[in-house]
Amino acid sequence: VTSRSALIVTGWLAGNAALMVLLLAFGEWLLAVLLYAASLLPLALFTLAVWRDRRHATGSPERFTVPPAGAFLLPIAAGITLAGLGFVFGRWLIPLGMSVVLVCLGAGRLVNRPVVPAGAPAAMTELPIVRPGDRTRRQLAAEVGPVTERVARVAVLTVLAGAVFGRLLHRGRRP
Amino acid sequence: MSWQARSLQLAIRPEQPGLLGWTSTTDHKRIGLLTIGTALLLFGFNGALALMMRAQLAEPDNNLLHPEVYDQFFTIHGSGMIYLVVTPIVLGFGVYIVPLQLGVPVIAAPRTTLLGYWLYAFGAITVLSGFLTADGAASDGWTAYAPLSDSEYSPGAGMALWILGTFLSTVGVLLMSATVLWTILRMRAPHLTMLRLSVFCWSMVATTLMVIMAFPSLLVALGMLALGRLRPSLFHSDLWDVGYQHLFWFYGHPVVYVMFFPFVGMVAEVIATFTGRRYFGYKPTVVSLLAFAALSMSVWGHHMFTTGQAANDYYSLTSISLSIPAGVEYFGLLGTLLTGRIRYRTPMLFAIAFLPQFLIGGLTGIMVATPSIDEQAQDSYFVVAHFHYTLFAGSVFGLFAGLYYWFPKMTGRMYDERLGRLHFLLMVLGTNLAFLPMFGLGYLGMPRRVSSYPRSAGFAALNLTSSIGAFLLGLGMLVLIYNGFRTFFRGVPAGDDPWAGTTLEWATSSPPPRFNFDQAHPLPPITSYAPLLDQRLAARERQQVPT
Repeated sequence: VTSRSALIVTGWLAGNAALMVLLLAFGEWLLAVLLYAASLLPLALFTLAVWRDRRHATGSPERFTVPPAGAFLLPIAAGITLAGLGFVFGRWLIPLGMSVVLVCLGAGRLVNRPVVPAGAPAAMTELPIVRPGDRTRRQLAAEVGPVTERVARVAVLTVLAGAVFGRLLHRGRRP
Repeated sequence: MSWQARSLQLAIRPEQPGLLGWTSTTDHKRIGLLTIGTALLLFGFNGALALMMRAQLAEPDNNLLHPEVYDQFFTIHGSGMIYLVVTPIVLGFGVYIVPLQLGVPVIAAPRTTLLGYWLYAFGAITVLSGFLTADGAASDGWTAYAPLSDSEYSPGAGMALWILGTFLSTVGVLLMSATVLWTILRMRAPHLTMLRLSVFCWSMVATTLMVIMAFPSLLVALGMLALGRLRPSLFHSDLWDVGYQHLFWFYGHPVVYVMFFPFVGMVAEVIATFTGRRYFGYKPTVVSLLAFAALSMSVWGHHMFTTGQAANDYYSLTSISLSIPAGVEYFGLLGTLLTGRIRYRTPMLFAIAFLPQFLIGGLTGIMVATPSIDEQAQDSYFVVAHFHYTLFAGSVFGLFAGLYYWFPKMTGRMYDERLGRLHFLLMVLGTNLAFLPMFGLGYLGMPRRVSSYPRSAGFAALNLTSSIGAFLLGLGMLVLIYNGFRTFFRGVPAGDDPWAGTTLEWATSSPPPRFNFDQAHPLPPITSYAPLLDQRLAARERQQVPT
């Protein structure tokens, strides 16, 4: 099976990686290129999570669940802010803020269990959701042509794009 | 019954009343409304700061505001609009609208989304609390360049509070973005494939991808600033100074598109609905949104042309390349507009005005992305005019298009159309009177971020015109507020689908029930990115074919 949503995120990541390599070729400061590379990391982790979820979820029935309430989130955010204010008005605020966060996190864990929404109609919560992005290779091939044809198309386009960028690089390189 | 079970039972009631219900809600619509409401309040506050600055600049040698206060006002106005208003409001609309358009009852990780909102709200309070400190709020501009922003040159708590508040609100926006993106990628109604997503949802995909990639860079930059305030000597080295600029602009340029793409999506929805047709050029628009977003990650160095510390060729090439996907998007919008039967309601008026006004901002952006022009225009009012045409004449007009469009869905009431049109008229006049003269001021050489200018400089007439425009904008906002209150108390019921919309949110009630769709408002069959239009066309065909 494949998933178009995961492919989109992966493609976007790959596009940025290509732009980063191009930046290196233009002779940019190495630290700026490293910054670009490091910025790919959060997105790469997100992409991995999408792929992982796709594998776990494929074909399984989905029930939408809702956590009951976020009553503890306001004091948690307040605690984080209080701890942050410790860096401005005095370090004693840091343990105070963190203890608020820890207490609320602990209390929140006791009561906040995800549930199937009580007011929702059964059809919406118990419906087996077929993940629309998840489709078989055969289905995908039927949509966009045989795999070999796609590979050939991508290869030709890559070579052409490489040649164009090569020429651009030659002109754009700094003396 | 144990106390845990009782709290659980209390918590899962469909609608919790009162303040506690709103503060602890996991309903994406309430979280969205909280975010939009908070951002609109802050929009009013930051707008008031802008009016005071324009009052100061209306006359030469004016002493209405002390220069230090003026510095604080332009810093909080600029950073407030970007960090606390437009970026969060984008996510507010995403949190509210995206699950409805996907046909799902909930958003992914609603508690994370709510935590994101609260971090944003506390961040905003922290930034603004700088005004209550002895030395006033931060005064180093929205870029907070070091070493100007370190504790040696900017002593006092204002700058530190700005760093903390901006950090918190950025984390909040990041959390909300991740949940919106996850919802789109992994939680969609049956048969809603990626290529059946609405244009607004696609714009949110591009936006949230950029947020996830670019915003951590701002967090690191703010961490650097915080360290620099502890040890100012760090910023005596070029590595930290220029490194900070790279980190900042790696966030600072994509955020412009974070504040633009969703409004393109909103305008696309509005234009498709009010022309009564399917969006023209759907697939090219989707590809161009993704390509635009990817390219926009690579242009940050054009803000650093004059530092001599950036590869000008690369950044200029990638910046100018942005005009290609932007052109494709414009082509899609104009194609939809030109081939439809237009209904001129308030959302449509704002959407139409968005097109030429943003074009001015976009084209002047290409000008300043050229190093030779940028050398001349750097830090002049030309740049101020450019980004106000982008963010105000463009994005804020897109925001109002979306606000008027979804207002009946969110509230269940219809606003007053005549007041909406009056608001539009004042906004168009005010915007162009306020920001067009700034191009002239830049051409004449007026630098940005100055609180006064001598009469001999020849800036007086254009500045006065600009200030008159700004006050017209203020008047327009008063009309909007009055319209909001009037609708709240005397608005007529809007009905489920007052505009004959094309996307799924119009299939449910106004306002939607707790879990978006119910037995009375089931999900319609999803056959394309405009399922309600498909339904209407099918019904029309059935009527035409004799049985």
